[in-house]
Amino acid sequence: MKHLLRAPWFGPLLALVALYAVFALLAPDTFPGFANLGTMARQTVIVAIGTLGMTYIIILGGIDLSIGSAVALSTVVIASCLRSGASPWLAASAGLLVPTLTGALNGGLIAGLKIPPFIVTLGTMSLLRGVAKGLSNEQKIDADPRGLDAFMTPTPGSFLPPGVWVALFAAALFGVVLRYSVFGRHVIAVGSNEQTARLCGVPVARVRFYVYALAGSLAGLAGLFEYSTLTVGDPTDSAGLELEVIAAVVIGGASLSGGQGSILGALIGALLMTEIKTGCTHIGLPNWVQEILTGLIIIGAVALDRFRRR
Amino acid sequence: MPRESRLETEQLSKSILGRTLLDDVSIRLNQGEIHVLVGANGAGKSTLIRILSGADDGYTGTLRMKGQRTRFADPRAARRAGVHVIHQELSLIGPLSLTDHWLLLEERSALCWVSRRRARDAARRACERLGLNVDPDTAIEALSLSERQLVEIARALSDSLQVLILDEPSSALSEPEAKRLLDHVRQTRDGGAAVLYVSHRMEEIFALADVISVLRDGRLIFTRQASELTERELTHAMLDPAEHGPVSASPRSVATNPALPTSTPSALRELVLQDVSVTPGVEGLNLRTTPGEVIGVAGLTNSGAVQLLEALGGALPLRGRVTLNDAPMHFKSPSAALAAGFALVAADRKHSVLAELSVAHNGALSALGRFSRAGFVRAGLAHNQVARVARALRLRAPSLETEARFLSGGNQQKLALLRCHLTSPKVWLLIEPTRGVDVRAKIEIYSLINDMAATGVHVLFHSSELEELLALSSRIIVLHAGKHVLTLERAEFERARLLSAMMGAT
Amino acid sequence: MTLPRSLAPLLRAGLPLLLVLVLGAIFNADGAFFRWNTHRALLREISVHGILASGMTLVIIAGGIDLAVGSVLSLAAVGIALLSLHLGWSAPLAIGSVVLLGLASGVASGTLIAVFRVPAFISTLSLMVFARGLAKYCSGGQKISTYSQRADGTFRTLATPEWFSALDARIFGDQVSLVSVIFALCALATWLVLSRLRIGRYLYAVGGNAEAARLAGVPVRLSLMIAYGLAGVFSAIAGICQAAQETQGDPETGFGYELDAIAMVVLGGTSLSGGRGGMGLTLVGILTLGYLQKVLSLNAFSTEARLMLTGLILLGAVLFQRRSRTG
Repeated sequence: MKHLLRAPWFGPLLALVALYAVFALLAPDTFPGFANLGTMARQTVIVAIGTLGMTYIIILGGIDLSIGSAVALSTVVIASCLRSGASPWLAASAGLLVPTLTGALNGGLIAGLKIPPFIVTLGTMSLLRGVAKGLSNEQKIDADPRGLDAFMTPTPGSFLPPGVWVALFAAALFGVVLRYSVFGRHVIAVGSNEQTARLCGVPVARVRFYVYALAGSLAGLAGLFEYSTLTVGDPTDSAGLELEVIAAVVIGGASLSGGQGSILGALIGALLMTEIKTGCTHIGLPNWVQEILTGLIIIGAVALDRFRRR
Repeated sequence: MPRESRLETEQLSKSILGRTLLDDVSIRLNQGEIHVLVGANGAGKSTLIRILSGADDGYTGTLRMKGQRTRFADPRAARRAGVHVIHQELSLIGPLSLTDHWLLLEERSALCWVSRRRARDAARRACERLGLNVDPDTAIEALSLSERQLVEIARALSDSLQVLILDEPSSALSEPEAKRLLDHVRQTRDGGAAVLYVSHRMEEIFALADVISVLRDGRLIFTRQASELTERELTHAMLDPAEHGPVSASPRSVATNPALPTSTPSALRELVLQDVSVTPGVEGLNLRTTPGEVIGVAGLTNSGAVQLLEALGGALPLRGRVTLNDAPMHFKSPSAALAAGFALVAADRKHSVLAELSVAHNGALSALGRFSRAGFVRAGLAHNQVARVARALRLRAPSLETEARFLSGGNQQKLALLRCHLTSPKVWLLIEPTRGVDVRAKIEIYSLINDMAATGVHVLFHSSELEELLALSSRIIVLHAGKHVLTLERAEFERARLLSAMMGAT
Repeated sequence: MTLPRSLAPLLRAGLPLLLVLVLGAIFNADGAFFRWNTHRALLREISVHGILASGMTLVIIAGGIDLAVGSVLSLAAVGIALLSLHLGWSAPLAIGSVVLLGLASGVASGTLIAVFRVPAFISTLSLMVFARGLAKYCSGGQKISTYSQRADGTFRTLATPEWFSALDARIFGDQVSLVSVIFALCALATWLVLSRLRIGRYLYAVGGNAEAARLAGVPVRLSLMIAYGLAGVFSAIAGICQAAQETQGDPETGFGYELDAIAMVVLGGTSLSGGRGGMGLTLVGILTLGYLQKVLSLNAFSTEARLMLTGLILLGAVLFQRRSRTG
């Protein structure tokens, strides 16, 4: 039991529950209830999938600012494929493949050429956004989703679309991989102390490359679900997603200096971010409040982490 | 006619967690005198320097500057008082030029105008005094190590120098550069400063010193005029008087610990090093070892001993030929070396144990391939193996899930050995295997090393403790300034001879 | 004959600029490249970015980074529009308040970084979000312009204060806009700080090796606060100029400006690791990026292509820096 209390995600879990109570009190007619829970779950899917890859990256000691642009690019790629008559399978595969390649690009530059991650991903953030706008001629691409919208449409009789289950499955899978696979252990070791990990025989550069490529694939998956929600390819979509995702991972207990973090914590963090967003809307606070809160939360979580490590 | 004292200590003592680092040390640095400080590793030299330069404020005893009692709050305060230290890692700023450094010397407000010309002239003049003809607008990083050291000295001279402390400055220099350094140290002394020079190179000590002090186990053994001291007296003073003379033949325990799982590779033959060089540090080393031998690699700082073992472990690039069982070895990285059977345990425990991860996680890390199936770790198997070896090594930890940082030094060291053991190495490379380890764990680790050798693997280890080298090794090779200068077989073990060779005496 | 030390990096930075100019001369869009108007327009367009790049130069030389400059610019633009257009504050009061706001945001970043040891990119990333949110709050999410809604729902057009439009006016015989002059002044101020004032030496020292700098007596924390504070001030000035040029305060403006600013500094040859570089180099970088975007737009490349290119160029410049250091 003590073990549970000391888990880094326990605090955020408490915050999640407490905040729910607060919002339920402030907006008793609209906030509580299954319908809203279902909405929040659906809205969390994209951020949640994004946090999976970002958790690995942050545990490794890196950062990825390009995820928002990658998601937008993914939706554009999928819509373009569908519009030119490709099958939904092909379109979805393309939507997954392209961000994987860009993730590999990030990984190659960071692991191979040792350029700081935030500079590389700052550059690719802009690069990918540009590619997305170019491919789409700066317009939203309309195309018949041909079934790809099924991911995010609630199945009859439940509040939850299949996408939520896929996200949960992916979270479970990557959580298991992080804790129980050789790769996962290598990631944690490198994040804990890169030089020591290298001396212990961990292939540091290779691990780094694969983590960024993996994050790219997951961004592609998030893009698929984003497309499923929007049913258009939107090159301006998800600007600022990276901040939400980073905030969620950091709230969930990951340390920005690496070596610590969990998928479960990141999920709780993602739910917390959605809760704040939804709650604020329900009690009538405008959007910019969430932006300010996000900034404050990131700083708060980092400061707490520094304090804990003192 | 007594010289004026610039900096002196009276009954200086310092202990940490029960360990005595300095014990009642009273040393006097006089104006116009080169005072050479000699002592084996761990004798207390670094601690003394830290206190003298203001980097350490936790001591008992008195510090006097020009006769006045004083206490330095931090290194900047010591600098302002005129005490300058030249460390191994210099305190110059790479991208900045010499002119910039002289500008920073001026004590003026942040908002005032900068006069480059004045600073440039000051820099040029200071450097020329030391025979350094370098354009003051050159960036520090464009200079060689020897030139940078001279810049540091020049800067100290420009900054109202009272006491100059140099901590083993010549160990990384070439012969002519070292000679130039010595000339300038003498020049500085002739200019009136008090100089404290730490060295373990016999040729330097007697060429430079006016006065020599010997530290041993934190205590000052004596301070004598250099002209009245011989090399032999010096080495003897560095050793405990009960330790003079040849080592009595104490049998090495060859008993095999039955609980220790054997990882005997089949029929190991020789490990051969031919003309091995590591840059920087080692030149043209040749060595042959047979399985079961424990080779002690002796050498003082920057002698190349540590670099040799690190290179064999894949952490540094190695030139030359290494064969094991007649098969040539190439190590591009530690993971390649581990795969080839060369296991390295680094000197600094920070680099051999991941502090925030659990014992189980650390233990299995290097050998995860053996404990996994389809990429997933068989946690139960890994756990059992780690537990088994931990028991055999008598590793004491509350549980296998405890984070490594909560373990004592000795247990952390055993954890590092455990991790390597699970990779079934053919060659063990141990650097300072018992540094910072309590007595009981030390003895346990010694018997471990014996047991390892008895199972038929090669063991090469480096220690700065003479006793350890003499007790464990079947053969000792001595490195000095990158070259192999002496080999001692067990029958020839003699402390003074070993120490002299490490210090480069002929 | 060896070149004086300070000239070599300048020449090296000039090479890309030369390349871009040659490209422009070749792909001159029916001579558009050679018209004086084109260059005059370019100067006007890059002035705001140039002001940001000046502040960014200070921060990068000190070994840091500032991702918040675009958001602080938008906050300042909204602020000046509100204060002068809607509330009718006088010029010195309005400008002074906004500049003070910029200073405050810079000092906030500097404090987080120097005192609380929060990594620079996280501190300024959070400030970026915070400032943007604040800008949207103050403006209600709308652009603040002379066209405003009264309390009873009707619209009216306000008069633009004279000094506001004066900022965008042309002086020197109708050749150069005042905003460009302000840019020149900011660049001059940065150059003075970096090469003629003692604080400049401190910034280089901190960027080069903060620990050795501290040992040498450099006030590290103060230096970092000054660098970030100045960057905040320049961001505010840039926001004021932007508002004057557009005659509105747009809370969505400035998006991506930090990337341009970083690219300009890095293109000029200033290293991201700190301790080296200067305003002269950044000026070359500003011109290079500016002319590149101008050549692209003259030849009808879209905004997204320019965006892509900026990203590529940033990566390329950093790569090149790394190569020339280790190679």
